[in-house]
Parts: sequence; C-alpha cells; structure tokens
Amino acid sequence: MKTKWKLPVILGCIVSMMLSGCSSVSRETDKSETSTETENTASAKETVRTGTWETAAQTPYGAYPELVTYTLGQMSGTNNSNLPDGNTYEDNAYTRYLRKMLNIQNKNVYMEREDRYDEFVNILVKDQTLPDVLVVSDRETLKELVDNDLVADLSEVYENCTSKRIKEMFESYGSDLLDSVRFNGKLMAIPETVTDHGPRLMWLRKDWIEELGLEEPKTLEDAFDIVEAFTENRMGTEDGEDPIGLVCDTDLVGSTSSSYSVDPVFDKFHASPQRWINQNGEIVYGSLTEETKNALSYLHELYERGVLDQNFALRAQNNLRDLVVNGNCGAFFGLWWTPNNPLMDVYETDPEADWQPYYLQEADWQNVYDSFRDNKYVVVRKGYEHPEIVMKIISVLFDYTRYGAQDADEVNAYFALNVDPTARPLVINIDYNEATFQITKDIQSVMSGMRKETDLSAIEKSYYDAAEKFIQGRSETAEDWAAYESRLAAVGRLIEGNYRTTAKRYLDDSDGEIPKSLQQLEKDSFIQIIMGVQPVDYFDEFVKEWYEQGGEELTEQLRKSNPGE
Amino acid sequence: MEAARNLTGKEQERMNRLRKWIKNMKYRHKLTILLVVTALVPMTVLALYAHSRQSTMVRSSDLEDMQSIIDQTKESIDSQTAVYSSLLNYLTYSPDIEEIIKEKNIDNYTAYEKYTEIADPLLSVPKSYHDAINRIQLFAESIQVEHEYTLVPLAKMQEEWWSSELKNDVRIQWMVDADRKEVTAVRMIYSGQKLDAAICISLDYDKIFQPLTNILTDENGGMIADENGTVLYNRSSLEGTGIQKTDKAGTAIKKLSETCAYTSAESEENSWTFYLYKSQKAISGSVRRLLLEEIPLIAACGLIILFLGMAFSRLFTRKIEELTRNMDRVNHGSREVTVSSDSEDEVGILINSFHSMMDEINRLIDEVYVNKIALKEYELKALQAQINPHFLYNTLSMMNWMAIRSNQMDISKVTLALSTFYRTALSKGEDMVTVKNCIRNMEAYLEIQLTMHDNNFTVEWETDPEIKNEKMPKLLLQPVVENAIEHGIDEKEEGDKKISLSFKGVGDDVVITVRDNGMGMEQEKAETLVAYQAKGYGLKNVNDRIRLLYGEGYGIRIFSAPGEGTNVVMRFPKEGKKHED
Repeated sequence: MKTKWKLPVILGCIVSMMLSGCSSVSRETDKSETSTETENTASAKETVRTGTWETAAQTPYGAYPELVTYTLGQMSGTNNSNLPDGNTYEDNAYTRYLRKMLNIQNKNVYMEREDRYDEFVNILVKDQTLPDVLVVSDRETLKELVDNDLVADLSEVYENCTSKRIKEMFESYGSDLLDSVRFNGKLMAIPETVTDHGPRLMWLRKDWIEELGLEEPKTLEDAFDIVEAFTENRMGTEDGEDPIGLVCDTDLVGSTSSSYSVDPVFDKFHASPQRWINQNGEIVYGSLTEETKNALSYLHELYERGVLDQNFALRAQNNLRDLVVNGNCGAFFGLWWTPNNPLMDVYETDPEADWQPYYLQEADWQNVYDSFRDNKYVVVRKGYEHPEIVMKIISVLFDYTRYGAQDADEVNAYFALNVDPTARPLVINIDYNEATFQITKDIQSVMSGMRKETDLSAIEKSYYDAAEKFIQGRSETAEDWAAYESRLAAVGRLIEGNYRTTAKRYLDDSDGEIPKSLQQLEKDSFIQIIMGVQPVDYFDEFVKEWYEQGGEELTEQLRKSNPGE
Repeated sequence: MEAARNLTGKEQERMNRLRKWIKNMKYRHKLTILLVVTALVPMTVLALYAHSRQSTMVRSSDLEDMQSIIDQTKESIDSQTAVYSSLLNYLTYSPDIEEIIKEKNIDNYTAYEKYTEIADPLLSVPKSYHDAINRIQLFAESIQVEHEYTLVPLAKMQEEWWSSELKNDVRIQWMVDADRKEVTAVRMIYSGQKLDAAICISLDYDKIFQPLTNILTDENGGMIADENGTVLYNRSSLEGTGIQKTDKAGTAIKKLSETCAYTSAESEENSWTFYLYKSQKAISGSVRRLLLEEIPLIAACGLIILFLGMAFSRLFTRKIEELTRNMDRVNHGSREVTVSSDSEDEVGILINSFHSMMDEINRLIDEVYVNKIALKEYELKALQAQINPHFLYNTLSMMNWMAIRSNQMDISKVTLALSTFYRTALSKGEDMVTVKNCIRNMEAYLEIQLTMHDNNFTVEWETDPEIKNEKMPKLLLQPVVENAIEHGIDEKEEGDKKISLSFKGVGDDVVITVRDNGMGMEQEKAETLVAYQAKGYGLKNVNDRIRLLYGEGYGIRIFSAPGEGTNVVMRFPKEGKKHED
C-alpha cells in the first residue's frame, strides 16, 4: 500500500486544486461547451492565422505561413490521460489550439508510459535517435545530451520567442533556475518550474479547542499546549487506546506532496535538515547543524510531554491519514493544499470536525539550496529547423491561453475535466514561483472590492466562484469547501504572516544526492534522539559518524564544484 | 359449423381436383416423381442419420474441449494459488515473522527497527514479484500499533470482511469476496490453544481468476464455487441463465443445466470447483454450421436425382409417348403407323401389336371398300341387264320408220339420235368405251337436247384425233354435259348460248373439257360440287369413279365465276396408264 499511496496524493492534490474551484466554472463552460466545440471543429478548417517565416521565427505568437509538423517523444498518462472520447495525443484541445494559433502540429514518433518514460529516453539518447522535441526528466540525461552535442542551443530563441510573461515567470525563481540549464553560457534546455508551496501550517481541530475553552494559538508553543490539552482530555480517543497527540511521519521532513512531517519545528529553530545549506559562506549538510540538534532536542521534549504521538515511529503515512480521517487526532502539520487531501474526506464524513490552519513559525530559507529532483527539461534536437517552436508552444500554453485568450475555453475546460498534464505536447508546467500566493491575492482583492471580477484569469475565476459559493452558504460540497479552505484560509494565513516567496538557489550538481546508507543513519539517529533511546548529545556522535561514512567526501566534492557559493 | 363444413367441402373439392390432376398427369412426369421420391426417401433417412450422428459427435467433442479447457484453467489457477500457499507457508515459518509474533512487550524503538527493517521488506517485497498481491498482512497479538496496513493488532482482525468466515484450523483458508474483488488466503498461528497471530495474503480477484476470465467468450460462462456451495465467481455474457447473485452453486447449476451444457473440475489446491458452461444455443450453433456445410451436398444430390429421374423416365416413356401420339393421330383419321420398335419388352410388344393391328385394320378397310365398288358395278350391270337392248333398238327403228313414213322428219331424227345414244351408252355391256364412242354418244345426246331446246344454243367440238381410240369409262361425260345445259345455259336468259367440248391428249393423259358460257358460279361453290354430293349435279359421283379407277391424281376440276360460265376439266390417263384395279 505504501507505494500506491504517493501517486494518488500528488495527483489528488494537483487535480483537486484545479477541480475544487473549477467545478463552478465547469458548469459555466458546460453551457457554452456545445458551441465552443463546434467552433473548434470549424476552426480547424478555418484558415489559420497567416504570417511570414520571419515573423514566425522571431516572435512568440507569429503563425507559420505553412503547417509545421514537429516530431515528438510523448510521455503518455494512464487512461489516455483522461482525454475526452475521440481525442488523442495528437488531436486534443492543446494541439488543436496550437495548430489554430501557430499553424503547427505534433507527430508523436515515440510514446511511452509515465513509469517507463525515463528508461525509454535513455535508449533514445544512447541510440542518438532524437525526435525534434523531447522532454527528459532527469538532470543526468540532460547532461549526457549536452555532452554528446545532441541538443540545440536555445539562447537566442528563448530571447525572441518567449512572451514577456514567461520570462517573468522564470525570473520569479531567481537566475539559478535558468542558469542550471546553461552550459558554457548557452541555454540548452527549458526547465520545468516547480512553484513554491510555502511553509507548512499547523492544522488543528478548532471545535476541540472551543470544546475545551482554550484560546487559538499565537505561537507554536501555544499550539503544542493545545495538543497537550487534547491528549489530557483524551479528545477523539477510543476506550482502551492511548491518546495520539501530534501525529508525525518518521521521515520528519516532508516533500511538496506529503503531509504530517514536522518541518515547522525545524523552521522554528532555523534548521533545514535533509537539505544543503549555505552556512556562513560554506556549503554544509543541513541535518548536521546545531540548529537541527536544538530542534531535535525540542522534539524529544514534545515526545516526553506526550504532545508528539508516542507511537509515531511505528506508524506509516497511511496510518496517520487514517487517524486524521477517523477523528482520532487533532493536530498535524501540512501544506496549504491539505484541505484537498485528506481533510475533504473528513468534511464529508464528519461535518463537526473543524480543521483550521495556523501559521505560527517564521520560515527563513534564504540559505537553503533546492534540489533538482522534481524538474523536467524540454530539449530540441540539434539541427532542427525550427528550434523556436518550443518557446512558441510554451508561450501559447502557459501564457496566452491562461492569461490572454478569449477563445481558449476548450483548453481551460480540461482542468475541470481532470485531464492529465501528460495530454500536453510538452508535459511540463510553467508558472510564477509565487503563483499560488498571487492567485489568492487576486481573489482577495476582488472580494474586498479593489479589483473587478473580470480582471481574474480563468483559473482564478474558478476558485473565486467556488469560494464565494461556500462563503455565501450556497454550497455544501466538499470541493467548494476545500477551495475556500485551501486557497483563501490556508494561503491567506501565509500571506497574513508575511510569508515571502524567495528565489530558489540550486547547486550546480546533482551529486548532492545523499546515499541511502547515510539517509538511514540519519533517520534512525533522529528517531532515537526524539524517542529518548539515545540522549540528545548522541547527535554529535551521529555527525561524526555521518562524515566518516562518506559524508566528508560528498561535502568536499560539492564545495569544489560550486566554488562561488 | 356451417363454415367448417363449407371448408371441408372446399377441401374435399380441392382434394378431388388434386387427385384428378395427379391421375391426369403425364405418365413421364409420374414416373419422374416416382423415381425422385424413391431415391429421396432413403437419401433423406441417410442424411438425417448421418447428421444426428455428427451432431452428437460435435456436441461431445465440444464438451470434451470444454472439459480440457476448464482442466487447463484449473491447472493454471491452481499453480497460482499454489505459489501463494507456499509463500504463506514460507512466511509462517519465517524466523523473522516468528520474532515479531513471539516478542511481546518490546519498547517502541526496537519495534520501529523490527517493523521497518524486517517486516516491511519481508511483507512488501513479494508484492513487486507477484502482480496479483494486493497486500500481505500480519495480525498479531504482539502488535500494539498498526503499521502501514501490513502489521495490524490481532484485535483488528475482527474488522476484516473474512474474519467471520474463519474456522479454527491451522491450514490455509481461502476466502473470496466477489463484490470487494478480493481473494484472501489466511493462515492462523496458534500458541498452544490460543490464537496468536494470522498471516493474510489479499489477492486481486480479477488477476487470480484471470485464466478463467480469459477463456470466456460471448457464448460461454465460467463459475467457481467453494465447498459450501457459495458462488465465488460467475461471469458470462449469456442472457437468460436466470442465475441470481445470491444463488447457491447447486441452484445455479440446476438453472444452468436448463439452457447450458457444463463441465467442471475440482481444484487440488483448495476446495474450489470450477465450472465452464456453454449455452445449448451456442453448441447447436456449431451443429448448425455443420448443417450449413451439408446442405449444398444434399442439394447437389437432389439435383442429380432429379436429373437422372427425368432422364430415365424420358428413356422409358419415349416409345410409349410415340405410340400415344400415333394412336391419337389414328383416332383423328390417319391410318398410317409411324411408330416402331425392335425391342421385345412390353412396350416393344405393345408397339408391334399395334403395328400389326393397324395393318389388319387397313387391310380390312381396303377389303370393305373394294367390295363396295364391286357391289356398285354389279348393281349397274344388273340394271343394264334389266333393259333388253335389242328390244329397245327394234322399237326405236320401228318408230323411225313410222316417222319417215308419216314424213315426220324431226321425230325420225330424234329417234335415230336416241337409238344412237342408247347404243353407245350401253355399248354392249362393256364398262370401258373408246373416246370415239364417247364422242358419238355425246353427239346423239346433244342432238336430242338441241331439239328439246329449239336449237337455242350452239355446240362447238374440238377433237384431237390421236386419242380417239383411248379407253374411258362409259357414261362419264353425260352428267357433266347435262349440268352444263341445266345449270349453265338454261338459266342464262339472253345472249348467245354455247357449249364447247374439247378432247385432247396432254402428255400421258386425256383431258376432256366441257365449257359453257352460262350463269357460272362462285369458285368456292364450284369446288364443293366435286367434294360433296350436291343435289342435281352428280359430279362427285363422276369424280369418285375416275379416282377409284385411276387413283388420286385424276378426276375432274371445275373453274367458274359468276356470269363467266363454267369450265369442267376431266383428266384420266391414256390406255397404257389405266389403273390395274
């Protein structure tokens, strides 16, 4: 069950992010759906916009005078990426819109399922039989392509053929993101952007707080006091069971798609375990710092107090989720999208449970390096006649249809139809780093009357409608509740708490990956410290051992390949 | 009732008509039908017998196929379940698992280590090798906190759907829930008499029963039942089997056997029984296909039989039909026999008998005919004999003399002419006279007629001297000339009246023409005078006599038109050509 767990969560949160708000939009689009559909089929026959070869090659939106067909290696999703019946990877709303707008058409010479895609790309790279356009999903492969001189230099076409807004989007991540795909100063790929989700929030059962006559927390300490009160009063605890307290994943540090980790405690102590950090101008592994030790010490204290689940080491993520859904626990840490998963399930089964987010720590990630683990890269075969085509596709898909177009209803309706991103000719997403926060700010400004509803983009409008419906009590659906609770309540707390998205910093190399044995050592040591199996000072022994078991070399290597940091 | 009777009446009538139609049918057709029916009956019996035998064979081979398919399916499901059984056994006896089960009251961190380092790999690794495994769970008294879904406190086993079906047994127990799509193998571990732990492998229902699902088509269905008769699996696209979801296996089989044929196989691994059923309709479908293959053959045989039947009946009835046609012609007046046969079968005998019969009849007819003519001649002679010519001549001579004496020259002339007429007419009893004699006879006759008609017509003679001595029957010309006077010139009222007689030799024939310029008549009427016995003419008689004497090619012909006079042409052969009769 463990492996099956992650994918639904990732998909679930992304999709329900879209869905939760889009449900109302979908109803609106439904009305016009028949007309747009006929329009779109008609438009395929319509004369596409014309232009010259020159303007096409120099501008983001200039159409080609003749149909340009590019070969593509397509990553396919399960269930045909949930495409509506009759649509294919070469004929769907995206490809039709691109054809209409730019006069281009993809021809999928290779197609492989998501889970086997990397392996398959490896074969293509080894055989040196690349299609015109290809998405690779790890940095190693990208390097290999560049080293073998198989991909085109995109520096010039990036300048000429991406829209201003796309450039802004990349800038929002800081210069490091694009620099990471520059080899000898040449832009050899376009990286996917991984938008900022912000720090984790404390989610508490507000109904329990009220039941116990407590005040809402202002600091993390307050929150832990509340959790202690929960356990003392055996809130949600069945007879014969021990009270749970704050649930905690044994991984301690979470990813963008996981909940239940205790990152905020580390945030509180300005610790950044499991990440490389820049400490006083030196690259250091974050798990080894004094700050981390302090955080662990605090966690041990919480464990002793009974705030932290006494059995946390024995539980896996699915067990934690069950505890939350079954109402056995009243506190956990989770990202802003937590209402979509798992709280939507709670909302449906137990309407009494009133989970509320609290932003109680200050996150300072200035000196933390991000990893490339989740990034994908778009490359163009060296020698391909129209390398600018990928920039034009990116500009149309991620700027024009989302922010400008009046005729892209069919494309945007795919959010509501739950169509997988793999349906796109380029299976990536590009958006502002702070997109999540911008959406909430825009919705808030419309709600406060500072802006007009018509100023909202298609995605914003859908969340706005759902949230409005929930606020006005017109909707009882879990989707509308989740849209409100995540987009407005949770993200709203982060904005109130003055959270600022910072530019991402990357280390030049993927060699920063920690070997499994060191990961295990770290995990076991930390759990031992928290549970009191070992004293807090055992941390120093752990640091020593970590360096001895290969950490030393790893750190040295990283410092050498990033001399400027 | 009335209507019914009418109906039966009508039917009766129809039956009668049919019977009559059959009765009147041509013999050839009857024979054809007889042959075809005679051949078809045994052929049909043979075909039906062969077909039923083949159907049985197809059915039984269908069943055999089904049996071998279900056996194979059972084998492959068994081999799968055997894998899981041995996996379950392996886990049960694994020391690692035993360690987790036995060691109670360990601290949380040790438990964490055991769970993540021992149990997790042990219980999750098999999943990556066996597609069908949903999860492996260990329920144990020693486990306090649920870890993933793999390690579960024993108390929580009550929440599993299969716990109620469990029996106190240390052997592996298989349980199936079709609604949850889950197959579970559970093995319980006891410590003394107390249940200590249970290991459960939950398997994907669809994947476990995939081998059975794979063999299903539109025409068959598969079912699996356990030893309690609970239906674990039943899938088919057949309609109307009437099986309810809640039916027990026994009921289901009873319902099935009404519309389907089925085979079954018993699992060797557990207590499952596998059934494969196929609708009778589908089986008869293959029989029908067989029949479709047979039909052209049967049709070909039928055609051959029909063709042979027709050919044989034609062969057999050809002579009889010829005979029938011949007899039909005879019936209509012909006396000619065209049919003949050289075979000595019944038909040959019949034809030959007919042949001789007709010959006999012809002979008899001729005989009667000739006798009749002879009788006529005899009658004529008898008549002639009644008149004593000498007495007549003497009387006429005396009358002549008396007329001359009393100077009555007209009487003398007529008397002389009459005397000449009778002498030449009787011609001493001879049948045949010379043409010269005939001319003299006519001269005397016309002399008398001229006197009787006050010479109001003229007579023209044209005689070919060469034929004067040719012979001809006596009294032949007199009726012709008499007709010319009575119906020709007597009825003409004005203008000169004339009779022309010509005696000519044309080739081997003698042609005598009598022409008058009298009233004439329609040519059609003229021709009937020769053919029929017209009152007051006697021409047919003349014609018949010539024909009888000389044959068909001779006789008289009449040419006439109204107002144009009449021309009677008499033709008979010269002496040498005279008919021998």
